[in-house]
Parts: sequence; structure tokens; C-alpha cells
Amino acid sequence: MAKEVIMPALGMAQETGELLRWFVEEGATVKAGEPLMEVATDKVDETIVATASGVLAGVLAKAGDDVPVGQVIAYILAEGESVPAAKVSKKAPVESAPPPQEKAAPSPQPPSGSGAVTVSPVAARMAAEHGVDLAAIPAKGGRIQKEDVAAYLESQQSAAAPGKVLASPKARRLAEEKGVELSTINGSGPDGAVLAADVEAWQPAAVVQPLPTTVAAQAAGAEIPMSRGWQVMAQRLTESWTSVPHFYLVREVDAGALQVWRTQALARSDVKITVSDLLVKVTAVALSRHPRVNASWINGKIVGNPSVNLGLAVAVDDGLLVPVLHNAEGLGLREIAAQRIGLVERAQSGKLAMTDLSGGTFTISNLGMFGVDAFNAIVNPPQAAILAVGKIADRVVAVDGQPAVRPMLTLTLSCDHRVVDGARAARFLDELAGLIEDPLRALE
Amino acid sequence: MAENPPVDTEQWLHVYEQMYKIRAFENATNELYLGAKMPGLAHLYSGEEAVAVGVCEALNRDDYITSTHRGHGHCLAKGAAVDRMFAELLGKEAGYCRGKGGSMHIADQETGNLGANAIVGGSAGIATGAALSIKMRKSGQVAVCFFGDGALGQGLFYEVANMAALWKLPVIYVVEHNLYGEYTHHTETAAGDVLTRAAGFGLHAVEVDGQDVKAVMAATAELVARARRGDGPSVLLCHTYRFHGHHVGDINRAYYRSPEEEAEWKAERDPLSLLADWLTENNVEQQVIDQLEATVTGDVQAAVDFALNAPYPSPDEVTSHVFA
Amino acid sequence: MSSPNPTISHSVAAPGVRQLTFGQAINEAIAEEMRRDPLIFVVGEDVAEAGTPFKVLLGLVDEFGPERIIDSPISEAGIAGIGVGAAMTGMRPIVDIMFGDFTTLVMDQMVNQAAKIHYMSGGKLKVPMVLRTTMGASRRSAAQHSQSLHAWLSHVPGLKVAIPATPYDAKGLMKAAIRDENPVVIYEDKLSYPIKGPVPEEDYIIPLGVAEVKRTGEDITLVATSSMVYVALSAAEKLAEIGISAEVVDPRTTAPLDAETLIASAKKTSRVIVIDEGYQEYGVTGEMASVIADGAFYWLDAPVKRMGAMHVPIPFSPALEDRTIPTAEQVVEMAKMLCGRN
Repeated sequence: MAKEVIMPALGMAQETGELLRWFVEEGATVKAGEPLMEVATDKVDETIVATASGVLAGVLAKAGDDVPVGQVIAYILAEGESVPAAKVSKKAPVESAPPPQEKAAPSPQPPSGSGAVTVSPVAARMAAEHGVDLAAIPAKGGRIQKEDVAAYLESQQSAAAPGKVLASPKARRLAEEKGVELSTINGSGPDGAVLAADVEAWQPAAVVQPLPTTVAAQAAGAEIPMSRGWQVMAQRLTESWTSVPHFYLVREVDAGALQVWRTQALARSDVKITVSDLLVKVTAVALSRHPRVNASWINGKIVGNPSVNLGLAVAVDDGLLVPVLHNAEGLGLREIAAQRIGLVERAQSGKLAMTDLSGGTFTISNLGMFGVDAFNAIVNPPQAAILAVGKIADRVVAVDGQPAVRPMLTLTLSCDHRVVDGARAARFLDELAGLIEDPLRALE
Repeated sequence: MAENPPVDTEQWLHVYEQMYKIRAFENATNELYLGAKMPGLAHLYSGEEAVAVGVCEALNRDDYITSTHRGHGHCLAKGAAVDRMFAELLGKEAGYCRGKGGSMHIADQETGNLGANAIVGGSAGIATGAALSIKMRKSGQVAVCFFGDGALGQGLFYEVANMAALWKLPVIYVVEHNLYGEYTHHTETAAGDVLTRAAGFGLHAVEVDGQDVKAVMAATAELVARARRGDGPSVLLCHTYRFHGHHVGDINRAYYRSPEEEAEWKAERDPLSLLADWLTENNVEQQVIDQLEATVTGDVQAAVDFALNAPYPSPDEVTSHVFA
Repeated sequence: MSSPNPTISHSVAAPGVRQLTFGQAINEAIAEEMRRDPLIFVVGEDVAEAGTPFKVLLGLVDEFGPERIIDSPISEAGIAGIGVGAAMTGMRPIVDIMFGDFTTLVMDQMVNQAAKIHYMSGGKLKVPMVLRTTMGASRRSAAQHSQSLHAWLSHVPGLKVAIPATPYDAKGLMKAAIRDENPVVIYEDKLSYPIKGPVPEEDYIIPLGVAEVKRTGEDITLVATSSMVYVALSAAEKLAEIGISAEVVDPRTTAPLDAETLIASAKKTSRVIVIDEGYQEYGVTGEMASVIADGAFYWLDAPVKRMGAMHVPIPFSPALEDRTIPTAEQVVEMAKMLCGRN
């Protein structure tokens, strides 16, 4: 049997993937396990290896093509085989679970310590069967075990009752015809059932056009092409802005203690520690003390998160990426800095893995390095809140009734009012401010 | 009681042949049934042959009859062929109804047989409607409705008899009074008497010995003439007896009918013996009668063989004839 | 929701066609057929000079005489049985059963005799008769004169059942029934008799088993029979005002059922309500809903809903009786719910 090469579905909500390039030319030989193609998913570029050895043939997608996931785009032929007659299976079922090797692989390599999550083979298989991202599963020990997956599945069950997607027969047929996975569509029918109109409202991503090489090449009024990442950002933030009831709390804090702490920490560390790293540390502590702000809004329910996974907004050329520091509440400052450095590097080089991007429970966006004093950020669903951090600037403030110049920092907390109310958010912000002004409180 | 018609040996031998045909047919049916070669139910007419034959001999081929679940005798007396009858009893394609009707639903348009009816008294409406049709079409036919004393409990008969009398329809209701409705004696189920009931509707009613084919035939001839004249409906009450149980499987029946009673009817009141005796008394050689019986027996056996070997209808036929 | 301009079926809206009442259409159909075929006759209670209690047959006895318009005793089973026998022997009777409730009395004749004779006789005998009777509540006639029992005879193989809604359909279906070689039962809604509609002068028949789209629409299909066609059309008007485009499909016969048209409409709109005046439980709505769900399953965006008479004996008091039959308002509410517009 000719081995089908399909456009893989690498993310839960992924509908299409862009083929960036083939590593093997049509007609050339490839070995199982060797890189076959590079695919751009919603946020990352993935190298896909061949799952069989043979000759690449019947190639149906070229670089730049946006292909529905699950669709056959080529074949790997063993000797004597030929490309099947029906070249494209239009209604190929969407493969929702990423290839097991993706799942079973340990998280990207922090050098040492508790951050290195490994997984038992049984747990990996269970997770793959249920289409669960391993990164989302909290491990009791250093290793994700069968029990951890089971507990996670159970919590998901009670939180969002996934499993069977409610949908009308017509919606199911339309979804299959469009190659859309029903679970990715918000249902407007009884009990959230997906109706035909919901499927019809679903739009496949626009075809990506080749980027013009220079700005000068753009004619006046011409459409500026968007990368896939930009499209995703646009779509998600629009969804957040139009559906999440935002409110904002602003607080000025004295960053003097923070600066002292940084100076001392830098002296002790071979890793470059930034203010952001300190903010991650204190925010993780604050969140672990105010778990409601660390909760998520999923399918109309407030779902608690057992660990603090802090997303860091990182500006890249074609948009915004939010890599995630998992289990941040258990990380030391050095580990935070080391992981942050790796994440930012991978983000800027387009090498983030899916696990780097998934499972975030709270986001910090720091534009201080761009000279911004303060700003309002847009909540990153399903998270409950996002912290916008401005620059540290010397300002005249009253200290003990006397004017004094202090390094001040403006924090703006944007919240989803469905998850947290003003008082809860204020208590969290107060905790955070206290931790910034007196980092030793983190030990309390 | 009407006078017997003049002795015509040929005619009465034909009548005997008809009655003997029914007897031989029912004997063969009994064997087929007991030999598990016949599906369903078999209600045998043996013992009542003089009624069917006596009535039908007084009818023309295009006159109508409606029959009952105990209807083999009516069909044969009206002119049905034994081979196609057996084929129907065995559910074969060559049967009168292509195997779709069976023992209780044989119909044969060619001989004016509008069909046997397995709803007791169920054909009273059909026979009366046929009579209305005859009257409207002015065709000069008559319609005969056979039913047993068991049907006297059914209301439909009284509804249509009322209309037949009102509209002077050419219909003759022949009551085959064999004393039992299924397993119950008529005295437990019918109050009063039949003739009085008929009189209540102003129906002309005649009572005959149903074992005397000559009497049945003579009475019927008179009622048929009446009907054709436009003098309206009538009731012919025939006292008769079924020699078998309600159906072939009704073997142990002493609880409702004594073996002595049965033996007496078979010994003294067998309509075939009565006619055979009369024929020999009127100078018909026993040898002629024996020869006739042998011929009929051979015909019946050949018909059984034909039916046993005949093909079943194609399974595709199950959906044909739902609508005309 | 799209809301195209609704169009009413051309067959009932042709301009310049004379208007007849439903009752006149029935009368005219019978009269025309009787002139054409001398074998046709009518038998029933008070069909002659009285012209039935609904006066639908008035005048027929004057033209055709009491020999062909026959007043019978009050003997429903008897006249049905006589009809069967007459039909089997060359006549083409029209048996008149005054109220559909009385079909209980003719059941053996229709179910065990008329329906089965052609089949039982291996195709040799046939029963070309028409049994016309009435249906429908809302006349304050109480439990024994108000039922719509057409489901019962629709259940039996060998019978055809027509339930016309409009004068046009009544005449065309009656003529088709009279000319059919099989027993056909026509249920006429009592409240429909005075309803006027266009009926062309020329001879026409409506084949048994052909549904009609009485109004086209895009968002929901209202399958409606007999009087419920008017309920459905009224509901469709109301729905149009709120932007829901309803298609009204009238099966016109329950047996044979034009499943194809029902399924096609269901596929088009993806939502269906089946509305019938018979009892909902085990009724024709159940059969039609099942046929639609079966044939259009992968096109349906909502469960197929049924609306029939309430499962109670029809009460006498107007305050109670009016609650038992589906109304346009109820249809609108159900349609809104199915279209996600609540």
C-alpha cells in the first residue's frame, strides 16, 4: 500500500496547515524518520518526518499551499507501488491527534531540575488517544503517569463535558464536507449543539499570498499580505475583544526593591536575569495565592488550573507570540530566566514547538523596553487576565509626606469579568504590588 | 316443500358426482393436512355437500356466490377445478389466488365465486352489494350468500338483510345450520329461531332438509326464480351437519358433540348415501356409481399430485396485487 | 434567515378562475363523474333529498334520481359492505359515511374486505369504490363527531386515503378517487366546506400520491394536511414578518404518501414540523416525521417535530375544544424554536 502523506493537524483548533517546503523532491527517495516537509501551523513551523521509506510521489501540494488538515498531499511509494487512482480524498477524516512521537517526546530541554517533564509510554498513548496536549497535564511527580492523564481527562470531563460533540445531522454532514472538525466550532443550538449555520459561519483561513520582498514593492492602496501567524493573531484577538467583557485595574508600584533584587541576582547568576524574570516570579507567586485569576473560561464554565503556566507576549516580525513557562510557580529565578531566554529565541526564529505555546493560564505583556509608560492589553482567552507592564521611570512621588524621586512602574491588569470580578482582581493586584515592593513577601 | 323435479338419471348422477367430488376433495385435504403437507387451517365441508351442490345446481354460472371459511364445497359446487383448488390450498402459484388466499379465501370470478370469507358473516355485505349491483345493472343474475348458524350472531347480516328487503334485492341468504358454531351448540348462541328473525325483516324464508340434495335444489330453484322476477331476497334455512370437527385439528370433541350423535348422522343422514340409495332405487346400476366414484377419486388424486409438484409463487410476488 | 418573497402555488392561484366552495367542488366532481359513467352511484344516510347534513350533495338526486343517489338506513357497516360487493361486481359506488367517527363501524368492511380482496384473490377481483367521510373538530360537536381518524385507514395496505385541503384539491382528488380501481377513502374537513377557492371549469384530476408545495420557503418546512394547511399558511405569514421563510407542503394523500416531495423540502430547509388534525400519538404525523427523518437525516438541522390533536377525547365546551387542535400561533412558536429564534 502506498503510504499517504497528509497535512497533519498539530493543534487542537487547527483547520489548515501551510506547506512551507518539501525537503525531498518528488521522485526522490526518503527514509522513514528523515525530514520530509516543513509545515506552518497556527503559530509554529514544524518539520515533519517521513513515516515510511520509499519514493515521494503524487505530490498534490506545493510550497505556500494552505491545505485542510487531514488531506492527502503526497504518497511514499515502496518498490512496485503506484499512486492510487483516487488522488485526493476530499473527505478524508481530520486527524485530530498529532503523531504520537510528538506527544511522547519530552518537553524541550531546560537544562536541569523540575522543569524537565517526561512521560510514561502508557500516558503518552492515552493522551494521544484522547487528543490531549501532554503539556496541559500536570504531573504529580517529575513524570506524567497514567494516573495524571486519567485525572486530567476526568477534570476536563466535568469542566466542559467534551467527548461527544453535539451537532445536528446536517451540521455533521456540512462539517465533513468542509473538512472541519466539529469540536472546533462553537455551537449555538440546544446544549451548545453545533447547527448548520454554525458550520456555515466557519471560514477557512484566507489563502496566503507570497510576501512582497520589500516595502517599496507595495503599491498605494494595495492589500498588505498577512502571514498565517498574523491571521491567527487577528482572528483570536478579535474574538477576545468582541466576546470577553474586559475591565482594567491600574496600579503604580515602586520598583526600587525590584531593581535592588535584580542587581543582587545578576551578581549571583551566570544567566542574564531581567526585570521580566522577576515579574514572572512574583506574578507566579501571586497567582498561586489567587487561583481565581489563574482560572480559565471554557465553554461557559469557570475552570480552575492546577498549575501556573505563564505566557510571555513576545513580539516577532509577523505578529505576536505567547510562549509559555509551564509550572512557573515551582521555578526558581535562574530557571525562569533560562527558560525565558530559550523561548524568546525560539519564538523569534520560528522554532517554537506546540508545547511551548499551549496551556497558558495567565499572560504578561511587557512593553517597557519600548518606552511605553502604561497600556491596556487584550485578554488572551481562555485565560482570565493579562498583565500589561510599562517602563520603569523615575517619578516624583510622595514618600512619608515628602516629595521623593522613585523608580515607578505602572501595572495594568485586564480581566475577563466572567471569571474574576473587580474585588478579586484588586486583591490579586494588591498582592502583586506588595510582592514587587517587598520581594521577601514571596517567602511568606 | 317443493315437489321433486322429474327423475333425470344423467342429471342426478352429475349431482352425485359433484357431491362425491367434494367428499373426495375433503378426504384428500384431511390427509394432506394430517400429513403436514398443507399449511394453515382446513375446515372440512364433508357432510354438508347437499347444501352447496343443491344450491349451486339451481344457479347459472354467472350467478354470484359468497362463501365461508368452510368453503371448499361451495367453490367446487359452483364449478371450480380440483387441481387449482388444491394448488391454492398448498399455497402454489397455480392456485386460484396464486397462493395468496389459501383455504379460507378462494375466489373464482369465472364461476361467479366472489370469494370465501374468514370473517364469520363477513360476506353478507358483499353478497347484498352484488345483488344491488345486479339490480342496478339489470343483469338478471342472483347472488347467494352462504353462511353458517354461527354467523347469526353477527350484526352485519341484519343491516344488509334489512336493506335487501327494503330494496327488493335478488339475494338468497343460505343458512347452513350445522348445529355448532365452532365448538358451541347453537342453542347457547342463538335465541328464538331463524325463520322468525327472517320474518321480522319481511324476508321470504324457506326451511329444508340440508342432507336431501333434491330438496335443497328444488327450494333454491324456487327462490332463484323469485329473485329473478324481482320479488326480492329470501332466506333458505338448511339443516345439515359437519362430519368432521370445526377444523381438521379438532379431534377430541366429545366435550361439545357426542360420538353417538356423529355416528348417527353419518349412518343415517349422509347426503351422499341418501342420493346414492335413491339412484339405485331409480334403477341406476351400482356399478355406474362405483365407476363414477373411481373416476372422481382418480381425478382428485391426480389433482393432489399436480398441486404437490406445482411451484410456489416467486417471492417477488409478495408486493404484487396490493393495488389494482 | 433568508426571507424571499413567498409564492403561492400556481395551481390554486391562477387568475380568472371561478371560485367554488369546497363543498361545491365535491358536489361538482361527483356530478361530473356520474354524468360520465352510469355505473357510479352514491349510497349513504340522508344523501338524497337532504343532500347530507352538510348539504354537500344537494341537487344530485334531482339530476340522477333516487336509483343512483340512494338513501340508506343508518347502517354504516351495511352500506360499506354493500359498496364493496357492488364494486366487486361492476359498479363504482361512492359510500357516504356522514362522520369520520363512524368509520369505527365500517372497519371490518374496509380493512378485512375492501382492502384485501384484490390481494387475497391473487389480483382477480377488485374493489373500485370510494368511501367519503368527514374529519375535523371545532364544530362544538363533542367527542363522537369531531375526530380525525384518517390514520387508521392509512395504516392498512390496499386502501388509498386522500385528505384534500382546498376546493381545487377536493375536486381533483375526488375525481381521481372515483376513477381509481381500488378502494379510496376521502376525508373532508367539515369546516372546509364553506371555504372558497379557484376551481377551473375543465375536467382535471389530481393523481393520488402527489403532494403539493402550497407555499415556497427556505428556512423551515411545514408539512400540513387538510385544515392544517390553512393553519400552516397562516403561520407562514406570521413567520415571514419576523424573517423566517416557511415552506408549506400538503401531502394531499396519506396513502400513498409522496415521500419524495416531503423529503426534498426537508432537505432544502433542514427543519420540519408535521401538522395534522388527527391525534398525534401513533398518528400520520408520526409516519410522516419518520419518513422525513429517514430520508433527509443528514440534511436536518433540528429534530422533526409533530403537531397533532391533543390526546384527549374532543371536548364539547368551546373553551376546551379550542385547546385540542394545533393553532397558527403554536406553529409559529415551534418554528421559531427550531430556527433558534426564541
